[in-house]
Amino acid sequence: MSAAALPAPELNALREEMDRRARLPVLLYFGAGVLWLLAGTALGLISSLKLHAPDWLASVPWLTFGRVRPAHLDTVVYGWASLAGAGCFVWLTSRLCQVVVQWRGLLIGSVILWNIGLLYGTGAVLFGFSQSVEWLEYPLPAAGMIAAAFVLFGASILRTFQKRTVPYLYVSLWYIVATVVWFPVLYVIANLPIYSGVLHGAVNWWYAHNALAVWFTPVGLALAYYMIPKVIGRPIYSYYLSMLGFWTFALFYNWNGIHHLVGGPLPAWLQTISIIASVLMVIPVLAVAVNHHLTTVGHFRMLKSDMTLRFVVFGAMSYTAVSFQGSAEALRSMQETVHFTHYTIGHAHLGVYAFLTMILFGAMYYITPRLARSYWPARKLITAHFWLAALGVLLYVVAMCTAGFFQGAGMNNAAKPFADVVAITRPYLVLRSLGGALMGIGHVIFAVLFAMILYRGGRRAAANAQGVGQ
Amino acid sequence: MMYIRLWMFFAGLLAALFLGWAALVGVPGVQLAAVPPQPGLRPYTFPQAHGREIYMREGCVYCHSQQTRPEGFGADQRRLWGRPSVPGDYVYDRPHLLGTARIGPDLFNIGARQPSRDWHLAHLYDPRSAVAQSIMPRFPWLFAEKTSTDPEDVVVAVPAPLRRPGVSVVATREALDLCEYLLGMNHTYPLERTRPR
Amino acid sequence: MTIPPQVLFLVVVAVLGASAALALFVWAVRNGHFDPAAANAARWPDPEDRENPGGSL
Repeated sequence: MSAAALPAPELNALREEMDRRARLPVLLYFGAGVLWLLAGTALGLISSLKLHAPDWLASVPWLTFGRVRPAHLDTVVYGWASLAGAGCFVWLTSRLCQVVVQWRGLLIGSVILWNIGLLYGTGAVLFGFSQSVEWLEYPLPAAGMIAAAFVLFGASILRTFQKRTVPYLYVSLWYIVATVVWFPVLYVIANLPIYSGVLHGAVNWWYAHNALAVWFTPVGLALAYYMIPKVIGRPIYSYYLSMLGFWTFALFYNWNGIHHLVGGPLPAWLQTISIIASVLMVIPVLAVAVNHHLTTVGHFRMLKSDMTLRFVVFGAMSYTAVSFQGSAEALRSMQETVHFTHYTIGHAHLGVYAFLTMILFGAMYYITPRLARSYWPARKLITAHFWLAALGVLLYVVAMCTAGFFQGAGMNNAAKPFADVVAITRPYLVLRSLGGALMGIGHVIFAVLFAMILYRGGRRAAANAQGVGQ
Repeated sequence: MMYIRLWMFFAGLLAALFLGWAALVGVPGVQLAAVPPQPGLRPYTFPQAHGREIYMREGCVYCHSQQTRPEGFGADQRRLWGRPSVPGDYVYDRPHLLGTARIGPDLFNIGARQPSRDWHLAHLYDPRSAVAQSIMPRFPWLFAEKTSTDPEDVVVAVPAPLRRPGVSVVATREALDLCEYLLGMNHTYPLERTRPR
Repeated sequence: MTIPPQVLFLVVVAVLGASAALALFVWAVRNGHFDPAAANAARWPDPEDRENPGGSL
């Protein structure tokens, strides 16, 4: 019997039941995600400082830039973003299917396995066993554990989906189901130890950009598609537009990968089709942007009062920005200057942080109270978190993109000694550390808030259990 | 509402993924499998292969690229970084180390540009002694400090501020093999049009 | 003149893909799978939001 036909008290009871069943696995994912966010932030800050203070802690092998930098990437993408995203998806799938989370035991197993894999993999990178392939540094046992953990997570999602009672599939569900089908296939193929030469380069960047296409971007989009209409209280502007957006996204994004190797020793046609696909991304991105904008228009004043909406809309707008930036960046004329520079790193953080991470923050601010059965303790701290994150990432991105331009222009001027090009970037590298520090303080606040709401919810539940009124 | 069968949805998803793989990996893979190694390319010697592992361990790939671009697309040629690299130059690379960043210079022909082992050893021990504005990390753990040296020890010329009385900095096997790898990064042999295998 | 394999591949993909998309579209229209009322309902995240917008719990 579909939930739309249930009268209000039964509906509330169903929601409470869904939240009760989701509580343990989702809060485990969230808690682990927050811990890896802190670890990843620390690794990122160390990396950033090392680039303008290279003699700091220079004798410690496991803190050398070449090891902490990949450790930072792997912990924030496979740790923070993936765990927080998985937790959000577990809760969201349950809600959108109007059925309690299925196969929770698999989810508990998934969280444990995932974290063991992350610890093993990150330790391996820091202590000298990295595979030295970008985005695929973890040794095979760690990668295998993460793949298995993801499959367990995906099985629970698909089972919940199979048991749905809803009369239609909301657009977020398409992205959710798509990721659990896509990502394990992608991750396993990319990790196979069978590649060499320039083809390995193609596999590497087919994988890395597809990881964005089949996991990280769908996480952000699925959550934005849910949070924006849900919080505002209006439907998404157009169903057919979201369908067009989904399928053009699935079709074009997959072909982007080789735009990371423009000018490199790979067939020219291969580079060209990736550039064309990168530009074609404008279509799905516009579909999403128009849909979100026309849903929100007339209600922007809600951004003042609702923090979830503020984080999510910031993220959704960043999605449009980073995508258009990427479409332009892929063109050969841009690549000639910005390839190999800090510009790429700026672009990456506009995507993974300003888009995905901000949306994850917004979603967690929405979901956690429903699971912890309490309220966020200090609204001013949430506001502080927002501004620190927003200003931090803005500073970071502007600094890195500017540095990249000067770096690229300098490298393309053969009369300029390479050492001088490095010197030009130095002040921007300091600004990057400052931006990262701002974001980091925001993360500490977020972690404290998260711990506080869990504690509050636990105390209230204990008090209720003892029959003490609130 | 457009109701499609669920299996059509799954099929569409997998088709989208597979198509992208075919375009970016499958078809190029067929083309590249037919490319033989460049005649001038030597497989890595054992010390060079070991040095390559050190390069991977220390994450050199995150700051250094190993691909030289053609003239008209960047200044690689004018900087004399070597002729444009081609797939046949990379046949023995497993994994690839093409790199996507040039925080430091491209290294594909560093062995030709900087053939001095002593320079590389001093540079690895303290990059700023060789290049004042360098932000490259130091790698002191690739070296050993000894109070008395043996005849076969390779002593590093340490800059004055870092010298300690009675202590010599000696290159370990790891440092020497890493240098072997770097010195072997020399792809300036002439480019030859090769026939498919 | 031999056709380069990548050109052949891209042409085949484009032709087959466009045919498949067209066939799917025609099949959907023929079998009444375009339902504007249902599409309108599907714009709400949860079915009960239609009756109680913004009243999410």
